[in-house]
Amino acid sequence: MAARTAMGSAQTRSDVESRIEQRKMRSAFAIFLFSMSVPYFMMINVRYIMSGGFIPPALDQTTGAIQTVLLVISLLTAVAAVRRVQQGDGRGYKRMTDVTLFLGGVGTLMQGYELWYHPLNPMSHYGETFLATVGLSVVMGLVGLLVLAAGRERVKRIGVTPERQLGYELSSWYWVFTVITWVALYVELYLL
Amino acid sequence: MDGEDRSKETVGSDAVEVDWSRRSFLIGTSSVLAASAIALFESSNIAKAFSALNGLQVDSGLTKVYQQDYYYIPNQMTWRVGTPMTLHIHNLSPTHFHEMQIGRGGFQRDPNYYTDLRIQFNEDFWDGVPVTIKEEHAVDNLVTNKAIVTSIPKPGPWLITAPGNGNFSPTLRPGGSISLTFTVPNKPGIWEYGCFVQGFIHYADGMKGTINILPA
Amino acid sequence: MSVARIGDAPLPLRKKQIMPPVIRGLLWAGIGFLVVNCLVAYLLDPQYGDPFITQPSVVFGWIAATAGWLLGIGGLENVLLPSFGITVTYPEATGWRRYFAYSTNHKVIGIQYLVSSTGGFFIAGLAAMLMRIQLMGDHMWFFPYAGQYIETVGIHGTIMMFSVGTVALVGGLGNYLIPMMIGSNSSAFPRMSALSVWLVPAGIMTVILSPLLGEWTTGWRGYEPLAQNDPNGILFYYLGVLALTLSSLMVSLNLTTTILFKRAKGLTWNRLPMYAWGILAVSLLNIIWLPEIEITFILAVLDRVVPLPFFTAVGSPITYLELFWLFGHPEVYIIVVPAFAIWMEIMPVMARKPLFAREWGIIGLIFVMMLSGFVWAHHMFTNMRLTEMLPFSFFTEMISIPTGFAYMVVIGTLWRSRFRMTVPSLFVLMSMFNFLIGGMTGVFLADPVINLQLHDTFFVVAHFHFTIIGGMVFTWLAAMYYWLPKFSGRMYNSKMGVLGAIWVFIGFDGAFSLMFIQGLRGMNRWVPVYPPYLQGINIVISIFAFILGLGFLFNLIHIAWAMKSGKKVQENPWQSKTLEWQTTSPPAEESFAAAPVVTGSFYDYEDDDESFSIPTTPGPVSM
Repeated sequence: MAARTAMGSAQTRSDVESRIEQRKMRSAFAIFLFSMSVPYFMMINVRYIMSGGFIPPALDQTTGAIQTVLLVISLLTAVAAVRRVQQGDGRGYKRMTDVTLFLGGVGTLMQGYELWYHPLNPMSHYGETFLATVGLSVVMGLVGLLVLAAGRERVKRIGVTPERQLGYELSSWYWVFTVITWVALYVELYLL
Repeated sequence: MDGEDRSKETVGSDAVEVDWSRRSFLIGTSSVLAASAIALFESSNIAKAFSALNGLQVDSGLTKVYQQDYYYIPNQMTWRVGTPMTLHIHNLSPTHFHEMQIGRGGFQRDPNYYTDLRIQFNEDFWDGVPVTIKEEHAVDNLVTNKAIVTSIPKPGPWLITAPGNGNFSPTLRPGGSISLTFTVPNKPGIWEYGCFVQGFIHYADGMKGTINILPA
Repeated sequence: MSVARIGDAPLPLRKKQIMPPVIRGLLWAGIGFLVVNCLVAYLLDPQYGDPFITQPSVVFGWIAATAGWLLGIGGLENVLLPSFGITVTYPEATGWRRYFAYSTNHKVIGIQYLVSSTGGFFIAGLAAMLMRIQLMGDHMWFFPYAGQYIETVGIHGTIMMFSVGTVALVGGLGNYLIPMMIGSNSSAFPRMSALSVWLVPAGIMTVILSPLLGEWTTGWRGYEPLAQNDPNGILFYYLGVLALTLSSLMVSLNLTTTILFKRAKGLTWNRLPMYAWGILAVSLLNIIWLPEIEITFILAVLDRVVPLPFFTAVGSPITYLELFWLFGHPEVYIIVVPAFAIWMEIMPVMARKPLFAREWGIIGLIFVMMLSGFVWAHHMFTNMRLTEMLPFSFFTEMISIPTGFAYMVVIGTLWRSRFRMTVPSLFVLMSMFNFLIGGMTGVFLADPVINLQLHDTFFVVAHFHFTIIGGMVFTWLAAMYYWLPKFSGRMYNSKMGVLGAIWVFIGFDGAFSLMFIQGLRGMNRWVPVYPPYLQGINIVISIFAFILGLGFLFNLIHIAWAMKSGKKVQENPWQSKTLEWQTTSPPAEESFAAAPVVTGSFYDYEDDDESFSIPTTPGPVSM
C-alpha cells in the first residue's frame, strides 16, 4: 500500500515501514516474554508460600551443575547464531543453531532425568514444588528446542532474507530467555 | 452471521477456488453436536432401549460390575436361582472408595444423626451364602457379616470377619477390584445394590441399581 | 476466486474440492484423542484392569485432540508447515465458508469470536434456566441428584466467565473494531488470531462435555481440596479453561501490539479512542494474570495425574484459593473495563457533545486496572484474620473511585447535551443503572462485617450478576446494536429494539433484585434445596429468569434478522467521528483504501451539524 500511495522515494518509505515492522515485532516479543516470565515468578513464589526454604536433599548437584553449564554454553551459541543471521549468513546460523540444539537438547534431557528419577513423595507437605518448577523449565525448553528446530529447517529450505531475518533472531532469543530463566531457577533451587 | 452478504466483496487473487460441500459440512457438524447432546443427556435412555430390544438376559458365569462416580455399570441385572456366578466388581473411580452392598427391605438409619442418613439395607443378600474370593486388587476392607467366605488370595488385613461391622460389603480403593464366586441362593425377588460410603452421598447421587432374581 | 471481468470469456474456475475444515478438524481431533488416549492408557501407563480412560490418558488425549483440531482447521498449512519453511498453497475460502475456516481477516475473526461467544452464552444460559427450574421447588425434583445441579452451576459459571465475559468484548468486538478504530487494515498478528479463535469452541465443548468423565462439584472456581476429591470431570474443567484463557491471552498479545504499532498517522496517544484504551488496559491485565491462572490450573492437573501433593489435603489448599482469586478478581475487571470504554465510545456520539473529562476516563480505566491486583482476598474473608482483611477491604472500597470516573465522564457528557435516545443509548443507560446497583452492593460486601454475614448467600450472587450482566452483557447488547450498521450495512427495527431492551431489563432487574432480598433472608448458594419459607420468592425469581432468557433470545433473533434483512442505511448512520465509521458499511476486504491521517479529536462534536457526515477530522488523505 505504501508503494502505491507514496510520492517520495519508495526506498526510504519501505525502509521506514520495515523499521516500524521490526520495532513492532521486537516489542511484541518483549511483551510475550514478559507474559511468559509470569509463570516463573509464580513458581518461585509458590515455593516460598508452601515450603519456605525447604528443598528435599535428593536434588543431584552434579547433574544440575553440568546441565547448567551446557545450557549456558548453548546460550552463547544462540547469541552467536543471532550475530550470524544479522550478517545474513544463513549457513553460519544453521551451524550455530545445530550446536545450540545439541547442547540444549542434552541439557533439557538432563533436566528431564532429574525430573524422572527423583524420588517423589506424594504425601509431602511441601507440595514437591521444585518438581513442577523443573518441569516448567523442561516444557519451556522443549518448546524452545522446537522453535529452534523450525528455524533451522526454515533456513535450510528458504534461506535468510532481510525480511525473514527477524524470525530467526527471535527464535534464538527465545532460547536465550529459556536459558536465563533456567539459570535463575538453578540458583533458586540448587543454591539458595 | 452475515456471510452471504459479503461473498461478492471478496476478491482474492488465488487461481484456485476452495470448495467444500455445504452438505457434508452441515451433516458433519450437526451430527457431532447431536452426538454430544445425546451423550450428555440421553445416553442412559438409549442404553435402556437397546437392552430392552435384546429381551430379558439372565446373567450367569462371569459378570462384571464397574463402579464410577457415582453410578454402577450396569445398574440393573437379572439372575436366576441356582446359577453359578462370578461377580467381578471393579472400581474405575480415580479418587473415590466404593463398595457394593446388596439388600432389600428398607434402610437402617443412623440414630445419632439428625438427618435422614441411611447406612445400609435392612436385609443382607449375603446372609448364609457361601462365597469364594477368586482374586482381589486394592481392596480396602471386606466386611463378611454372615456370609461364609473362603478366600483364595491370602487373607490380608482387609478381611473383617468380626460381627457387628454391618452388612457384607467389599470396599474398593480407587482402581481396585474383587472377584466373588458363588451360586445364586434361593432368595428370589427384587434386590437392590448401592454404595453407602461417605455417609450415603454416593447412594443419594445415584450409585445404586437393582437385581431381579428369578426363581429356579 | 478468479476475477472474471465483464467482456472476458468466463474463465473456467479451477475448483479444489476439500473436506470442510471444521470436519477435518473434528476428525483429526477424534483421531488424535483415540490414538494418544489408547497409547497412554494401554501402553505407557497401564493401570490395573485396563480401563479405557485414566487420568493421564485423558489429559494427553485432550492435548492431542486440541492440537489435531487446530491443525485440521488450517493450522497445518498456514502455521506449522511455513514455520518449518515448507510452503503450501492453501487458498482462503470465500463467502459464508470463510467464517468456518482459518481466516486472517480481522473482521472475519471478530465475527467468529462473536458467534462462538454467543453460542457459549446461550448454552450457559440454558444451564441457568435448568438451575432455575430446579430452584422452583424446595426439594430435589427436577434434577435427580444434587451433584448434577452443582455441576450445572459449574458449567454455567465457567462458560459464562471464560467464553463470554472475557471473550465477547475483547476477542470479538476488539478484533473486529480495534484495527479499524486506529486506522489499520489488519491486526498485528493476524495468523495468531486466526488460530486462537478456534480454541474458543474447543474450550466450550470441553467444559460442556466434562460430565462424560464424571461430575465435578466445585463450581467455576474449582476450589481445593474439594476438586481433588472430585471425579475426572474436573480435569475437563481445567483443560477447557486452559484453552479459553490461552485464546484470550493470544488475543491480548495481538491487540496490544496492534494498538502500539499499527496506529494511523496522526493518531497520537492523546487522540487514541476510548475503546482502544479500554482494550489496552484489559490486555495488560490478561497478559499478567492469564499465565498465572493457567499455571495454577496446570498445577492442579499435575496434582491429579502425577500425583503431586500441591493443593491436596496434605498440601496447601489455601494456596490454590489465593492463586485463583489473584487472577479471579482482575478477571472481573477484564470483563467490565471494555464495557466502560464502550459507554464512553457510544455516549458522546449519541449526545452530540465532546467527551467530558476524557483524560479522567482514561485515568479511571488505568487505575481500575492497577488496583484490581490488590483486592483478591476479599473473596476469602472467611479464611483470614481481621488485621489481614483490613487492607483488602480498604482497596476494594477504593476501587469504586476510579470506577466512578467512568460514570462521571458519561454523565458529564450527557449534561446539557442534544441527547438522542436510541436503542444503543438506552442499553448503555440500563447498563449504567444496573452496574451502579452491582457496584454499590460491592462496597457493602467489601466491609468484613457484612461480608462474613452474607458470605455464600444469594446476596453475593445478585451482586456479581448485577456487575457482570448489568455491566458487560447489557453493554454488549448496546455495542451489537450500535455497530450493527457497521457489521452489515443494515439497521435494526427501533420499535423491536426498544421492546428487546425493556424486556431484558424487566427480566433482569426482576430476577436479580429479588435475589438480594432472598440472600438477606438466608438463601444459600450452591445448594439445590432450601427451607420451605423461601419457595415463594424462588418461584417469582424463576419466572423473571425465564422472561430474561426469552428476552436474550428475542434480541439474538432480532439482531440476526436485522443483519440479514434489516433496512439498509447510509454508511455512518450515527454521524460518528471515530475512524471505523469512515469506511464503507459493511467494510470492504481492506477497510481503508488509503491509510487515513488523523488531524483532530474523535470526540469533538462542537462543530456545526452539517459537518458530521463529512469526516473532517480523520479520513483518507491523498499523499
